Amino acid sequence: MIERQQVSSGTWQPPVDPAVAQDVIADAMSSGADFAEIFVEERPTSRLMFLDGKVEDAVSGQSLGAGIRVIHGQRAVYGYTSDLSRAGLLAVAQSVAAAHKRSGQGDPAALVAAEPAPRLARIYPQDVPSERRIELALKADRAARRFHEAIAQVEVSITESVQRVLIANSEGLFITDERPYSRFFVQAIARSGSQQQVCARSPGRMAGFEFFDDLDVEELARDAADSAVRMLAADYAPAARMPVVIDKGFGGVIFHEACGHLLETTAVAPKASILADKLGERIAHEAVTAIDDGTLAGEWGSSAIDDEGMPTQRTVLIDKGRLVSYMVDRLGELKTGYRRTGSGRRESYRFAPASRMRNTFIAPGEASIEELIGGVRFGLYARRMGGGSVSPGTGDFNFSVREAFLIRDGKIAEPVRGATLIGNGADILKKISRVGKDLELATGMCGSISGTVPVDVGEPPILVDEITVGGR
Amino acid sequence: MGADAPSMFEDEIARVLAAATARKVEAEAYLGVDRATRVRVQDGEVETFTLTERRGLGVRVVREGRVGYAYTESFAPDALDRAVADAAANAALLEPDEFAGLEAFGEPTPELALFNPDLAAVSIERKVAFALDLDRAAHGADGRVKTVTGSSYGDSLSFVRVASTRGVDRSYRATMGWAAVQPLVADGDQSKNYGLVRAARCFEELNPEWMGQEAVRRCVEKLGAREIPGGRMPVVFAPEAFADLLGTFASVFSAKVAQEGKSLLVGRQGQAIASAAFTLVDDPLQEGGFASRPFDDEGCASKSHTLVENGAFVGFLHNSETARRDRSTTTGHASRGGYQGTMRVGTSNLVVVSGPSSRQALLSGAGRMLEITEVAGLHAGANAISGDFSLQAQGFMHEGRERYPVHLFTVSGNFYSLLEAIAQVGKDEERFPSGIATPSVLVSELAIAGK
Repeated sequence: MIERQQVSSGTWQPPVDPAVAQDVIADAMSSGADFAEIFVEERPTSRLMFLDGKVEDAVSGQSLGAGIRVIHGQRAVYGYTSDLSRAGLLAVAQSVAAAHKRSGQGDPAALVAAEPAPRLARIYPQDVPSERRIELALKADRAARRFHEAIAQVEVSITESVQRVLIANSEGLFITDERPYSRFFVQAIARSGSQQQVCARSPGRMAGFEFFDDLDVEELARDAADSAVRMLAADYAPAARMPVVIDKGFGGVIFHEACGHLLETTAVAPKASILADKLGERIAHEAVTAIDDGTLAGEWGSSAIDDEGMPTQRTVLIDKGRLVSYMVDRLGELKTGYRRTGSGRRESYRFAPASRMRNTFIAPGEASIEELIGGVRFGLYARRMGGGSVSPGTGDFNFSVREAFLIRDGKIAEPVRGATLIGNGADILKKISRVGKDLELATGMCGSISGTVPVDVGEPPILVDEITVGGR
Repeated sequence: MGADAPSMFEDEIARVLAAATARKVEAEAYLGVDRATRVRVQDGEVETFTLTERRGLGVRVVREGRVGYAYTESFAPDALDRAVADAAANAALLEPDEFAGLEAFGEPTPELALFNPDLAAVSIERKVAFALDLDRAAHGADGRVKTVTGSSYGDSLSFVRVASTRGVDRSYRATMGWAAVQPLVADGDQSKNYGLVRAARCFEELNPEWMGQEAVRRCVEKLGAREIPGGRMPVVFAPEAFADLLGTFASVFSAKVAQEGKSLLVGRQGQAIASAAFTLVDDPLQEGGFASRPFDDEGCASKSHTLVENGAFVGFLHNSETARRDRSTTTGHASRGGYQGTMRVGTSNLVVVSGPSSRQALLSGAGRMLEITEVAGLHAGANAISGDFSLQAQGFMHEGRERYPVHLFTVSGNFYSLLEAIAQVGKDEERFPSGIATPSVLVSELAIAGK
């Protein structure tokens, strides 16, 4: 047991103090659990949306709640509440304890406060007047409209939140973490006759308002407008199997879907992944080394500790084509025996943690993008990507290309509208035959069993020898 | 989930409205509470048991034609006061809008049977037994079952209250049960899975044996799937696939989206936008409908609204603000997506009205017919602004009497063109947990990319 004043967490005073946390853990374990944990979250969020060059909606809010989990063997019971009073928390602890009984030890260790990680935000959202945000949005709006007369509508939004968490468990852990998130979104709609095309850019970082100060919002807006206008005039992509050069940055979504989800113990433990039991095996082309890294400073998917309180790490998943690690959370470790990798993540207190990706990317190789394109007689150059999805049990995945060009005789030719690219993960990993040298990460949101969490995807440009392009 | 009635939160609502009145602003409180349980079974044992109570209060403030929002999950008095203050401060960031404002909805709301005390009283033991039975049924349904994941039973008791300084004060309770199971079957090199989800307002309507077997049957019938050459061809969308597609594009019928310049239906009221075979209705009063509700998110009494009648576009879905802007009346489709959201327009039970033809009749129309049963990647491969879609799909090829599974292909087109190309609408209506109900739909031509 520790004294309240010993718990240092910067200016944040967690809404649950150590004495209450200790009692909650003890009650949660009272029916003989092996492990108990409390996750307390406070999250102020603000969102400004702009349309037609004006503020369309302004919202601010405060999320507050706690999730309590107990583990018996490989089973978990999870409960949550927004009522953070001692009585409210103990009621949930007793409910989760009553849901499963076992004759385990149920003897929690005394909590010892851990030093929280240094603060990441230099400028907190509440310290910045809203006029600054309105100024940024207007700059982006004007830049997009001035770019081309076909731009009929511009939407901008600025979303900021600061997630503050406290994680305490029956092993004596008591740790806090603060994660500031800042994201800018600009979307341009180009119209001509009865046609509308749209393109958005939406970078984000784990940082305070200083992120926006360093951002060239006009360039982002022009970039979105440029793409929307180009797609207005473009023909549809062809429908065929062909080689595809996928550009750096968000192109990494191909690896996220085709492979990343298949390496989460959530899918691996119940053998609902085609890559279960493949550790040490060659699963990809030797050009492919892939990494999931939660430690990259300021990146959207990073954090000092995961949502089970374990320090995050850099996890090499695939080394020159060979599978060397899965992504493992606490339950995943209990079920598979693989060591935890600091990959337990959740959207909020409303979700039990699960093994999830953080910043996942293909490591850079040697080739220039010109070399990749130069080797293709007829194919697709996928410049800008959307999201995708995968069914881990079969490995069938899809992801969308938003802006593309045909490749003819080794050169970039006419632009074509986006299309969905589909394939099977086991198959496509062997067809990523060349990897470029210019690595870039991009911001995304990933939805899965423990909710929607911020992640980076990334890659240098890559060449996929053959993939189905779902055009017309 | 207990059977006891949740508190009406009288003190919280009163405090918010009083704080608004003290600031001389109009305000509306939207309070949402959701109590839920979920049992998830893996390999014959309970893997996770989840007990939750979520609650939150959203405040919409209107001050001199400016609207601001704030929400809080803490119901402490200072947190409620702060939400009102924040909403008022946010309102100050907007320019005045003559169409903004709260309405004093007074007309009576319909009686709907949304709350089932029997469902709320189902014991934890029966919920666990259901999920175990479901898992067992799926495991035992076929020798080719490799794994079963996510065998789950869940239920929820939700409470919604909308109250404003204009005198609106309405609430309702609703219960819902659901179950899901996802088997994976394998034969040789090929694996197939299918996630079956069913919702019900009554515990007895959910049948674990049937669900386990049906989910496996849908996996097994996909085994031996072939790849197909691409080309342009007629396509029959099975109800589930058409429901997914329709749900993705439903926002084009929102007056809010139209006023933002993002729907291509602007200015097309009264015109033919779809084949004469197509009639689309949004019915929040549908009996047993999973998205039924007595009033919308600003308290306007629910009523049914026809969107497309025999191919002609009747009119957009409105909330009170979009209606004022269009010099029209609200259709009662205000939707804020929970207490954290802002007031927009949303569908409830979106119903494609059945036609005369059986599914068999649709499928035997041509020499060779592609039936699409599942589409994937809708969040990325479909764009409601352009109407374009390009989606990973699975299904069956029908050739005379032969029917064989097909996979690893995409279907591409444009939603607006698809509506015009609907050749026939079936009568095999299915209802989905989203509230969408649709039969199979035959589209005369779409682009397929395969091997």
